[in-house]
Amino acid sequence: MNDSQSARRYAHAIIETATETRAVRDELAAISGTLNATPALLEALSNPGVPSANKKAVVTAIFQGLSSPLPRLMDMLIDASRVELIHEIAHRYRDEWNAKNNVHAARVTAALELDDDARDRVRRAIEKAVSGSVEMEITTDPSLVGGLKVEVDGHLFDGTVKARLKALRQHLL
Amino acid sequence: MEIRAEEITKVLKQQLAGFSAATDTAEIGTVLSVGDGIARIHGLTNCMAGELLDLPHGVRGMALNLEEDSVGAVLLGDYTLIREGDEVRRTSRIMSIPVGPELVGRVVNAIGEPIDGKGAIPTKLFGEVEVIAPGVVDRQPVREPLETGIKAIDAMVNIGRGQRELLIGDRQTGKTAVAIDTIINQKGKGVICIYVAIGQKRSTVAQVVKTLEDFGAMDHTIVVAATASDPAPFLYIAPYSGTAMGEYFRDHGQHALCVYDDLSKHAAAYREISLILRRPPGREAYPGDVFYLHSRLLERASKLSSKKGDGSLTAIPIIETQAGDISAYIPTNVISITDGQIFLEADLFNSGIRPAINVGNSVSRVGGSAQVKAMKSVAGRLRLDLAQYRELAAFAMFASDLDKSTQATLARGQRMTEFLKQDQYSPLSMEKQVIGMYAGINGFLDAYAVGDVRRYERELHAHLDARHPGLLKEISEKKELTKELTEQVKAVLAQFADIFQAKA
Repeated sequence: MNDSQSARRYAHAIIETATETRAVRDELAAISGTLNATPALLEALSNPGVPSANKKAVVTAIFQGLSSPLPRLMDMLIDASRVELIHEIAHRYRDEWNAKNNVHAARVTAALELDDDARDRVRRAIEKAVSGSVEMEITTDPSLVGGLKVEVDGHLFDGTVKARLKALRQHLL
Repeated sequence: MEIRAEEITKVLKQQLAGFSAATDTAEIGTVLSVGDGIARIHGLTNCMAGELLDLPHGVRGMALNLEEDSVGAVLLGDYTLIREGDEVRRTSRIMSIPVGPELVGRVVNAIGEPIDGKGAIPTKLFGEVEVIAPGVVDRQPVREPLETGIKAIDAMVNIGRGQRELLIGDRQTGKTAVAIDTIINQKGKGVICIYVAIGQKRSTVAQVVKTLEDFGAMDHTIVVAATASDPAPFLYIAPYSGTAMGEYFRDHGQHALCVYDDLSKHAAAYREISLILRRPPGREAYPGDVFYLHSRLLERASKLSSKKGDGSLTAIPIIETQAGDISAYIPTNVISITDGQIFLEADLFNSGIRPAINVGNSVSRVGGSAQVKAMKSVAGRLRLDLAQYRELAAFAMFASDLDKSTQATLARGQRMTEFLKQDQYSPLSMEKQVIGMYAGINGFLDAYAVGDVRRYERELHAHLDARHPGLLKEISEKKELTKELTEQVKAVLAQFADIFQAKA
């Protein structure tokens, strides 16, 4: 069984047992983020030379106040020596939670920094398009010159000046 | 010449008037990993099997594996340019290549791009690479001959338009030569030929193109070349592309001939792709669907019904065997798919029988229904004479004194075997073949030594061209040896016997 399959099963199991699913989602993201930011910690947790009890103690000390069933999940992953699977699990869990709650992850790239009003309008537009709530991740990229690029649910809507210039070049040449 | 700025502005304005930039929308995914001509792509949830994908740098992909959370695609183009995280776009089109009459006379690669340095090909249409073969109702039995111009084939293992006839043999037994002769012989017969070179050396392909040009055969031929240096995906789709080009002609009521040279290398290329895509290997490490790989290709050869325009697509796949082993995996598969096979043997080739066709093991399941009547009337006797000869020849090796009838059978067989030899690049018309064979089976050759048979044939043809063009024309028009014509042929042969003897 490959990693993405097992991660999906873990994620599925968590979503079925958890009561505070929203909190679990954010906590999983936090754990994944922490481990990403401190590679030494992940290395220590995946090191087979370190006894499991020590690892569990470290995890309990660092991540306090986790909602059920995350403490048990961490223990299990340590026992099974699959701590590095946590990233994939967090990712899968988010996807599954989003699908269940009609939340769509959107990646918006703009040429300029967007103010609150603009953000709001973009959000409303996307929400209308996907008929659900939207979680936006906004980045800026001056090379786009102007306009917006929105990626949501595997669809790309490219209304940037850069894309139009490219289309114009193809049209003329 | 003076160029004014206003004029330029005016032209630019005109150009821009027709341009409207709608928001560019697409379904996208990202590349997870690349290697060996294969990319794994995340996303593309709605991707179709066999869909064409757009990657950066003009590289294109074809989706082959649709998995739970990734898509496995073969890359057509320089895959070293593709990086992890690159954006992949759906095109919502099944992999297709340019088709149409504009391609005739050109050399193209597996995706229809010209590689002969003669500029762009102004095709207007696209044909899908993978098409389901015509159904039962759309077909009719094969009934017209596809004349190869090779005596041994046209007489005994004749190929019909819409048939699939396998050419099988070891390396260096003249498989390609037979195919090339067949293409050359289609000149002026309204058959568009497509020669698909799979995994061959570029020098070999260049040689074939040169030969076809020398004999004026490029005017009705398309060469599709996926050479040994092309990545495996090109080798994999080349025969399908060639077939798609042929289907254009078939569907427009014309006749087309596809030569796949050779399918052993095609199977090997597919094995390579399948193993990299991690499909489970089976016998000889080929994937489980290697039979379907070839059957769906060769099923597309067909003779369409009159309702569909009477067009046809004939397939001549070529298989290379190792040391004559026809029970290997791929040869048995393709033998069972095709409507017959022509065996070429190294032993025959080395003993000077060229084309080295093993008449005993070669068959055409279409048979006489796709032969013209004139040929049918002489070929039956020829087949019988040779079968009797083969039966006796083995015994006669050790026998010292033989009875008269055995000697006669042996003498006839030796002369007919000699008669069936034919030089490369010299295909013969049906009427000349028929008259030659008529002479053979009716004992006109028996008087001469075996060594004189080929000279007899050569001079007979020259004699016919010079003195009796009317007779040749009549046979080619009537396609039948009527009583009257038979008498005429007999008279001409008797007359020629005098001339030939005088010379000898």
